[in-house]
Amino acid sequence: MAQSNPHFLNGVPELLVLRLLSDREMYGYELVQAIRDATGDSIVLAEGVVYPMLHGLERDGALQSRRQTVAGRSRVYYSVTPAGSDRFARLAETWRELNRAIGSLLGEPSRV
Amino acid sequence: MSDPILLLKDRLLRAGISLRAASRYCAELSDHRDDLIDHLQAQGMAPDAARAEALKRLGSPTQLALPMLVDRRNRSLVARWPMVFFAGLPLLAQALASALPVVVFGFAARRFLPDTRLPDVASAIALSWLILPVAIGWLAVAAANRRRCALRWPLLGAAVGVMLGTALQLDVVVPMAGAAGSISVAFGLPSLLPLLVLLALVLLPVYLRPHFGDLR
Repeated sequence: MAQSNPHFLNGVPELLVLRLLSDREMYGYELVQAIRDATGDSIVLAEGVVYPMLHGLERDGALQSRRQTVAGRSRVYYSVTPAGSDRFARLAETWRELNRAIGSLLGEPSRV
Repeated sequence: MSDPILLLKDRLLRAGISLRAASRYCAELSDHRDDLIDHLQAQGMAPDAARAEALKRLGSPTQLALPMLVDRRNRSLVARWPMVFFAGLPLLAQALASALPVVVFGFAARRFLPDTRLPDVASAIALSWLILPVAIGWLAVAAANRRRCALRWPLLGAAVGVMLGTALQLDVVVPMAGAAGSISVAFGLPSLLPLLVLLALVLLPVYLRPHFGDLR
């Protein structure tokens, strides 16, 4: 089983969640599985992280939710709002800049 | 309490997380756990093993509670100001609920209530002043217990309410030939017996349900 990886993940769960929910609405379990599948089990978000984050993003207006009963089980589906799309665009840009900067640093030979 | 999600809810509430946030989180975690169990069983795992594995993957109540505790927006206003919600508001409700019948009584006495009925209505209002603090106190204790809040504020509020309820006095002078009647409200020294009986009644839920007894 892949281990959850709390280091290097600051801001990443939010980025992943907004990205995946941009494609289609999902409920929590589906989202956790989608993150595992999309990252080839490299990133495994703990359930204790996912739901409070979803609730926080909803409170910020980045996500909206609707409840639906499927096969006798109540599910809360989350989807991205226009404000959430803007937030994702900003986060993605920040991530790309960071990625370029770190990539550039790691690519350079050490001067020490 | 063997279900870790119930344990988690209890822990979140005791830590001051709002009832709504804790209930929603635990409900979604329960659904998540059930989905995970179904998934593991579909992979060929036995039901008990699937449940044990799902609980293991979810993590301990402490691990699950931490992200909720970090976000201050999950904190309950009730947990921040228990004195206001469990003592102040019930006393305000009692004051309003005690004053309203007197106002209506005064209006009715002037307009349409027969003079012969005045003492009966006054007795009913006086009785309601004794019932109100107990009923409101029970509601406050139940609300605090539901949120796993300490019971000292609702009990203190109820005790003050009982003292006020037993101290209130309603006097009615029925109009006689040539003399106007009057309705007056005053505070007096509460009688000891009703005071003790009502205080005992307020504490009844704590005695009947031992887990109500968190008097932090």
